[in-house]
Amino acid sequence: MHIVTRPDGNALVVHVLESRIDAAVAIQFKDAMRARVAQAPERVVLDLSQVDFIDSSGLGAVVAMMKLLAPARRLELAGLTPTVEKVFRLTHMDRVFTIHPAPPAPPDPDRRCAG
Amino acid sequence: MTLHMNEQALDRTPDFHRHFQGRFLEVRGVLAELRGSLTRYGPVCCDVATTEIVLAEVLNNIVEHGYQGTAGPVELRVWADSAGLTFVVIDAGAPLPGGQPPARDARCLPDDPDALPESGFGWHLIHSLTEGLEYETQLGRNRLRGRVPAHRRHGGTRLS
Repeated sequence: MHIVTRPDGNALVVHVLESRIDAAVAIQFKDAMRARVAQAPERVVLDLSQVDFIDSSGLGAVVAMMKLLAPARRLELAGLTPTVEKVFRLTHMDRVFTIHPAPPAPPDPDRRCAG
Repeated sequence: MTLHMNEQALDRTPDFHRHFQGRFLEVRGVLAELRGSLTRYGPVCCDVATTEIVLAEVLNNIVEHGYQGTAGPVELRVWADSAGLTFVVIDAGAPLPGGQPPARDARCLPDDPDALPESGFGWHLIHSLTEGLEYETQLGRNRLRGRVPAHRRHGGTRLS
């Protein structure tokens, strides 16, 4: 699971550098996220601009992450691609999350590392 | 392995037809092949993204609940035409509880984040994006048929 994190003010930006968050990787995604947000500040912004596809398992993993962070910290989403946006909309999860239309600045290439 | 059922087959050969083992990664591979295949029909037939959402849920349900991690045979047949896409999925795993797909629920989300569901989105997506779902189970075989219409009121993006 290729995930890169970057502090940004009072937020931790988490770039998911995978094309899919689906049933095949939902558990890995949750584990990787759990490790990275352990010390996160009050806001975690999940950059999904590289994710073309999410299924119900992936959606469940994102919801689980939001619940893990709550109530002290909140999970926000950014850069939803059309199919991902559709899945959030059809399940009404678009009303649950703060969703930023534009993706955050991409990760510094020098600091990229596989996770 | 072919799973034979007493089905009223559509009267022509499927446009896409695969037999595979019910594992998450195999589902991924089959969906990728289907995407490539559907792109040939372009805007005439299908919303490729919608089709992938639906079939990912249908097939992963079989892997997770039908076979419960012990991979078994799955057959996918797809017919594409100007009205949309018809799929038939056959497996030999555990049948759906109650012998039918879960009823469509009008999901009301709780205000308390702790009470938010982390699962159960799959059938909601399938119901939202398909029509004419038919399920039957007999002689250890389960068969789900449904249609992804070409024009959705949800206005999905169409691949050109």
